[in-house]
Amino acid sequence: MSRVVLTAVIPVAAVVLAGTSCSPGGYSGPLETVTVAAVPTELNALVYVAEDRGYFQENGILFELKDYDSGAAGAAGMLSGEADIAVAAEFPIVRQVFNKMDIVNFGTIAKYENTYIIWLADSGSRTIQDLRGKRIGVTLTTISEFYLGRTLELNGMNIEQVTLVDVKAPDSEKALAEGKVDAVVTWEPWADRINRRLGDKAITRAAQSAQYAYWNLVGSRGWVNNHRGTIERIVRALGQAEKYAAGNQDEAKAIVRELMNFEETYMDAIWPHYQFTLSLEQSMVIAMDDEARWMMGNKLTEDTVMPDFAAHIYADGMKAVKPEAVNIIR
Amino acid sequence: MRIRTQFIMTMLLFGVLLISISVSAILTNGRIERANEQEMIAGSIAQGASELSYLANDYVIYGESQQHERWVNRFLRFSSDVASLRPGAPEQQVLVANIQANTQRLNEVFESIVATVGSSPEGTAIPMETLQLSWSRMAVQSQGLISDAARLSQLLDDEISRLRQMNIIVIILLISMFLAYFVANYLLTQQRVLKSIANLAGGAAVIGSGNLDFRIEEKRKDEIGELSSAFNRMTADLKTVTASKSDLEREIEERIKAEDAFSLQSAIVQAINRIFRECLTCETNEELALFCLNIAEELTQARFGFVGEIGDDGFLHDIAMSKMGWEACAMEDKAGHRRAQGSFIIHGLYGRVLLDGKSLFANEPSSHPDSIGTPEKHPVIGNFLGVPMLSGGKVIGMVALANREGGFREEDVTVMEAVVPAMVEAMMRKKAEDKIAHLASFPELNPNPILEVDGSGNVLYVNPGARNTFPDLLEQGPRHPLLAGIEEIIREVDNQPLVRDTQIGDAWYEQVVARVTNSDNFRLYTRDVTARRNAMLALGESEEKYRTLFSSMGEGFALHEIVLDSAGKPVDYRFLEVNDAFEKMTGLSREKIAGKTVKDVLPGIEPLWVETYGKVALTGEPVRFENYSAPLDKWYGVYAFSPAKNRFAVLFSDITYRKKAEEDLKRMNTELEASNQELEAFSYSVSHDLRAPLRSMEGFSNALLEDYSDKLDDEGKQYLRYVKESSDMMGQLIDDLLRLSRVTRSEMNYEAVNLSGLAGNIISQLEKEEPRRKTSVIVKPNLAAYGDRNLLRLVLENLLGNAWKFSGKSGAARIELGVTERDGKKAYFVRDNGVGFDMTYADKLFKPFQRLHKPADFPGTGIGLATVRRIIRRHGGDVWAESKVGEGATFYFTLS
Repeated sequence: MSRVVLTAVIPVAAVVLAGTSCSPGGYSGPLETVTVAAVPTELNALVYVAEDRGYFQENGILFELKDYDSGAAGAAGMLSGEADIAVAAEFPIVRQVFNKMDIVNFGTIAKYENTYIIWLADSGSRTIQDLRGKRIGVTLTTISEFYLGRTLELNGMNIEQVTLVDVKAPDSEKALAEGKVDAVVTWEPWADRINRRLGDKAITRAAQSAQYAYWNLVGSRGWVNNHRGTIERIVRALGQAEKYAAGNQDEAKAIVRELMNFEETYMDAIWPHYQFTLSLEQSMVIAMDDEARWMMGNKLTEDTVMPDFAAHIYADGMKAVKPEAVNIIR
Repeated sequence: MRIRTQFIMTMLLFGVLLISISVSAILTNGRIERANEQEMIAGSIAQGASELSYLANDYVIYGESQQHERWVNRFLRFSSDVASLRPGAPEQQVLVANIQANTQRLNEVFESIVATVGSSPEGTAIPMETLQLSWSRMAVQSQGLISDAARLSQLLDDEISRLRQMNIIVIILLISMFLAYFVANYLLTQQRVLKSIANLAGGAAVIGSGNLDFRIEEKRKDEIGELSSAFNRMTADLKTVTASKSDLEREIEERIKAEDAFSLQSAIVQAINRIFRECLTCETNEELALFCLNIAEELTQARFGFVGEIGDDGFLHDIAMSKMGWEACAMEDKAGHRRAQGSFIIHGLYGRVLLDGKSLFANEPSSHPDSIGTPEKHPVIGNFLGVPMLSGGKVIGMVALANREGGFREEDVTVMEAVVPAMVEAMMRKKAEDKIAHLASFPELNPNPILEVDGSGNVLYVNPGARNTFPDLLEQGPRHPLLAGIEEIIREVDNQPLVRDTQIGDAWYEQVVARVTNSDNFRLYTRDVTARRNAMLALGESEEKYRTLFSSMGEGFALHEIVLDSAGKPVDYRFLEVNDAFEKMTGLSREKIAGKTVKDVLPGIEPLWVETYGKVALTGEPVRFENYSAPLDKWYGVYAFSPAKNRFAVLFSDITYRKKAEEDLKRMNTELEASNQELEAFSYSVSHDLRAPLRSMEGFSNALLEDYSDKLDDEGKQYLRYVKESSDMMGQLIDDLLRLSRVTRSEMNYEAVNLSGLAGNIISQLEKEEPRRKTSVIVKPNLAAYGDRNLLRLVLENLLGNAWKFSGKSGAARIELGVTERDGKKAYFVRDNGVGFDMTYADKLFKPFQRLHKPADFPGTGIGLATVRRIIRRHGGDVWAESKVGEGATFYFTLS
């Protein structure tokens, strides 16, 4: 049989294989260094996986992370020229837009719910309403400030009825323990650390009102306009990481855990609250509109006209890599 | 491998492949259906999120319980849809997890809104801030859900596309596998089954035809192989119990061959018996040969043939030829018998038999390399068999046969080679008998008297010759004069016969008395020698005459015997006989040289003489030569020949005088050559030395005429012109003389010369010089001559030039070059119709400076014809002229 049958089968197989095989893309140019202003947080999981798996390098990107305390600080540092891009939630973008900064979001790399209001049980406060008139530590200008305000509103108050104390997230436990504040609004991993350390002595309530925050890659408009190819390659590398994490969740978690030096129980606890998917969604614009209205309503900005946040979104890079993840209404 | 096993394996393999691919196709189809279902659910979720957003807004704005209930009902279906999502791929699972989480949040947000809205008394307006906040919160959630649901739908759609593509591939694979299976099955069947069956069928057919030795190839270990093996076993079994057809045929064939061989042997034996019987009864060898030929034709079924013998002359002689051959090739002899035309050269096919001494048959004789064809009217030879007749290892003849129907066979050769020796034996015996009879008949036939007597001379036998010559011999017995003194003679006869001459009356008889072998009798062979004795007497007289002639002949003659050394090389010769002229010409007396060698007589003789004569004596080839003998100081012209082995005779003459004359002539020639060279030098000197003053005379004459023309009167100018003309004439004369001189001495280069061509060129040149002249020139084409081309050109230039010149004043000038015959030789001629000349002065024509016309009428130097004659004579020819005044002239010349 053989020779005749094989000669009949091989072309068919070749056709079949040709139809099903993927041609691996590949960047053949020089490595391009991109400095990133970022908070060292598990929210950067796709970045860490891409770095660990070499996806950035495959796409000609050398990611240099520059640590900041918050996404807002990172965005501000980026806008002041300290980094090429930054990773930040949507609220700092809203604030920078109100600050007339030409900041552009070119990709959400995670949606998350990790911000909590924590106070001591022996403080006498049992509910959110009990925090009226109390000092609440929060990292100002970050989305935790908005979440605090939104939580207060949903509980019949506003931020003017509490005393806002600017506390950096890493310092929130200390501020609470030292009595500098009556409650803190903080995010993971600090919230988890406070809870583990205080146990029943702390009362913890979700601060995001069942609403995801969006963790975004941002850059100045000038940088974005001049680095469209770079953005596409960054998004492509992150898309590879997303695909890897979806299919290899434990490995992805391990990469983040080892990098961040987290415990496994912590990782298991927080992971369900995160969605590591690349997107540019209209829901984020709605959220930004909501946050902008909140800022205007609380006189946190002098502007009274709603900005067009869709104009601060660069979607071409994402569309080139994952077009189904873009549904911005313009 | 067995066919059944192959079949089962093939079917199993195919079945497994088919099942695998089918299962794969079914599974893929199932996955497609499931993905389709999931996609519909995702779509329903997106729509549900949108509807829930609407219902939530409706409730927030109006705060009515039915909107709340409607939202809750829709959310239940929505949750049910979300719960029914069964994601496959990890990315889908992530999205579904997101959707599930967002659904939970959506419910939480709505519950939160319900709590806020529900806290307001029904009917009171809900504050705007609450409305905006609630709307924003619901919008964020529902948009997120819609996005996720849409993305999930997209992923599912991609999966469906991929699965469909895979399904197509599976179908293609399925078809390919089918094709491959059919091709493989066909090839396997063709290779392993059909061919084996064909092989089996072929083998069965061979065995079925009776060939029980045939074995079917058993190369396969399958059912067909087993069947082949069974066939082979069956054939082997069949062969052991029954003689195979081939065995029977072989046995019959061998039996037939044995019978044929027996018949053949019988025929051979019978033929040999018949030949030997015939040998006893036949009268002549020819009859026996013809009988043998008939036997040969009978044995081989040949239509005709011949029996021939090689004669002493080396030719083949037919001694018997079958009727057909006689009719074609024979003629009647004196006795009226048809006989062969004669002897035949040994060549052709029969020649090959005789030369090789081997039998030869050719069924296509015309294409045989030795074929020489057949004479006219010879019967066509369709096939040929020749068998040599050998005696003592020597070929003495042959039997040739032809035209056996169907051609000759090896067995014909076998038969003939068995019979021919008997033929040879019979014929040899017949010949021997004939010879004996022939020998016995010798005395009877001999006309000379032959007697046999006993030791006392009593006559025991006389032959008819004796009876005829001596009728009274028997009557007189020992007293007959022929037997006078015979007893004494007999006593002297030993092994060697004795010869004596006896005179009876005027007749003389020579008697040879010899003892009869193994007997005490003697035989007397007598012959009449009267005539011989008379002839001898006459010869004595003749010898005397010869002696006289020998002695009186003018040429010297000597007979010698060559003396050779041990190596057979001539080293000397001995004088045997010389004549008188020899003595005169050599000064050697016969007495002094008789029996002596030449080196004894002339010790200083040149070796050439001995070498030359030795060669003549040994080879027998005569020589003629001239040579000088220093010891005798004479030249001899010698003719030497060899009358007998190691002898030579010389006829010679004294040519000393002639040789001296030749040497004188040679010396004179040498002197003449030297003289000629001097003359050449002289001529050269004349041509140059005389030309110089001539050029001066001509030059100064011209100078006077040109530069002093006005100082000269007409007479002076005329004189000067005479001087110039004379100098021109003298220049021409010098040229002609030099040419004449060179003609005599130049070396001759003989070659074939086309006189017509030369004449054509000369006439053309003449016509160019006088283009207005009308002359009819006739040149016989292709006049060939053998001579020196340049000299012959000079001859024609002079003769044609003269003809042109002397016919110039004729009205219709005519010149002809042709050839005629005079005294058996070609005589070329140049004829013109010019002024001619008086034949009285013809002898002056060819002498230098002799002219028959005035220079004023016909210019010239008188050298031309002298030159012509010299050239013609150098060619060994002659030149002459015929003319009449006013009727033109004809100049003839011949060449050797």
